Amino acid sequence: MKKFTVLIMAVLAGLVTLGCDDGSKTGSIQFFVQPEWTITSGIQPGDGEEDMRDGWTVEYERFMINIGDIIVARSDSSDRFKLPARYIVDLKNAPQGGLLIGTIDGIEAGNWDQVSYGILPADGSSQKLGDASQEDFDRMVNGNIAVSVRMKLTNPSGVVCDPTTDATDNCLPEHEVVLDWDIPWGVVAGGCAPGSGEPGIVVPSGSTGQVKLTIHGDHWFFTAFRHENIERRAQHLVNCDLNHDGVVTMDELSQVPITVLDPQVYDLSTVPDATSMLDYVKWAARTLPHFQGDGGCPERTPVNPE
Amino acid sequence: MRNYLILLTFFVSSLVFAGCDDSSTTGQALVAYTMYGTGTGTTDFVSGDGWDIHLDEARLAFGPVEFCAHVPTFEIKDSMTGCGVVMGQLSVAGVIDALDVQEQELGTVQGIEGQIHSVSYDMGVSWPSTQASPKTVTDALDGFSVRVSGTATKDGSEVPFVFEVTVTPPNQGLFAVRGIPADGSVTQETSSVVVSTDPVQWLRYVDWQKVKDMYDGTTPVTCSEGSTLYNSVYYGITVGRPVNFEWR
Repeated sequence: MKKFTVLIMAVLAGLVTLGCDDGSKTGSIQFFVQPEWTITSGIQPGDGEEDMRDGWTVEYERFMINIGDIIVARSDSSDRFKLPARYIVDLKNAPQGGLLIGTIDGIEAGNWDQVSYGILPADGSSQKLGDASQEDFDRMVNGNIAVSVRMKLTNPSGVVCDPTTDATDNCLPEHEVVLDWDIPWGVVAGGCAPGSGEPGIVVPSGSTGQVKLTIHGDHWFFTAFRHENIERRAQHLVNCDLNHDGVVTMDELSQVPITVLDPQVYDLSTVPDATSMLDYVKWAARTLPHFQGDGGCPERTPVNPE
Repeated sequence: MRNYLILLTFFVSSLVFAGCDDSSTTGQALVAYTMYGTGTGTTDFVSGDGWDIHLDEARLAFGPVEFCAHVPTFEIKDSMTGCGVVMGQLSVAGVIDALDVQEQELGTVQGIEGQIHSVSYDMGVSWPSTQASPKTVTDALDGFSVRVSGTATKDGSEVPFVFEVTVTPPNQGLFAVRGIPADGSVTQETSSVVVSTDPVQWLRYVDWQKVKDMYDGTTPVTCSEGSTLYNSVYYGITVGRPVNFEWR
């Protein structure tokens, strides 16, 4: 019986150890930048929740970002790891499962509840990663660009309507429109959390975990900057082709007041402030960073180009 | 011996629970305090495009209101339709005369002690999750959320205007304005929260030259739903924190 008692105590002591493990072992975490399916596959028109509701088909021709400054920390201690590198990545041609951009080794196993990363204006410190072309890389660096996109929008019955007038007979047929933007405004996205579960990451003891920094590609088309009770539409952007040359530029966006948006369709109440359609695009760009697929990074700190 | 083993098991199990317990909840005390609205008293200002604006009336329906523990954000899956912990509620709507700097009582906030980080609110029209359609909470402005009237003057042109706009929540169960930053630490000593608003900000998007172009020489210019002018006033009172909160 004495041996049995010792055995029981050993088992229970083991339970204590397991239950209160403070994570004295270490592990590794790999970080991948992952394109949302909308970037690699485009968005089709239709009535589905994630379809374009106004008949336009979206296909990306270019989706470049400058990503970096990954930070992992704990709210209850000063422990903090940082991957300071910044990479210019071609997300249009990145693997659907993600492109490896860094690994943190020797990090204490357990939960790290604070994860953040940035999409930042490119500069001389930016490095080329994956299949990014030298031409795209140079344009990003020289222009201090955070996000560079080119989208082809097609619609067999498409029209472009002058957004600056309330007249109803102000539309011209235009079946293909390109949105071509080099966006300098960046963001540090913090408080990253998966779609369900606790914020941050769990570092496995003695092995390596993977984290996907997912970049969404459909927020330009949102009727509100949230994920629920929204639709995806393109007409408000297509209409900004003021000179009807088939290309919507950032200069044209800046000439169209935000008040052209119908408040019965577009909810701007969560936008800190906006004057023109360029502001709409600016805030949309700052909502692109996500976490582990559909998880979010709600703490968004704007980073403006110097 | 069997009793001994049971006792031992309970003892060690209690160690497990005691050692790992990281929570200590005591609950938060209920509080009630008064919400007041106040304006800037500004009746005359110059618009961004150089028009002299004189206001005769600037009133805003305000409420219901919900104060939240959640850190504000402009986009996340959960936080825009959720609140975290609800820290306070005003279930009625009142009207703020924005030309009056006096504090105007809007109602009583019921809530709990603690830190407020964000606020969601309606402007006299709500769409509760239990209602099939939006409902008017106050008739003080005849069902409108805002009424602002006055005269715009420039280069000898004098244009009277009356703008009336209704702000309706976009969906059932949602507030019209959500997740706006607010910073208040509420205790048993908190006596009030003051809501301040500036009609100059309400009208910052208005293109006054277009208002002049709409004037027929006799009837004050109004804004009809669906027009850019209507949208200008709508976004003026909903975008960019046109309402601020201060707890005392």
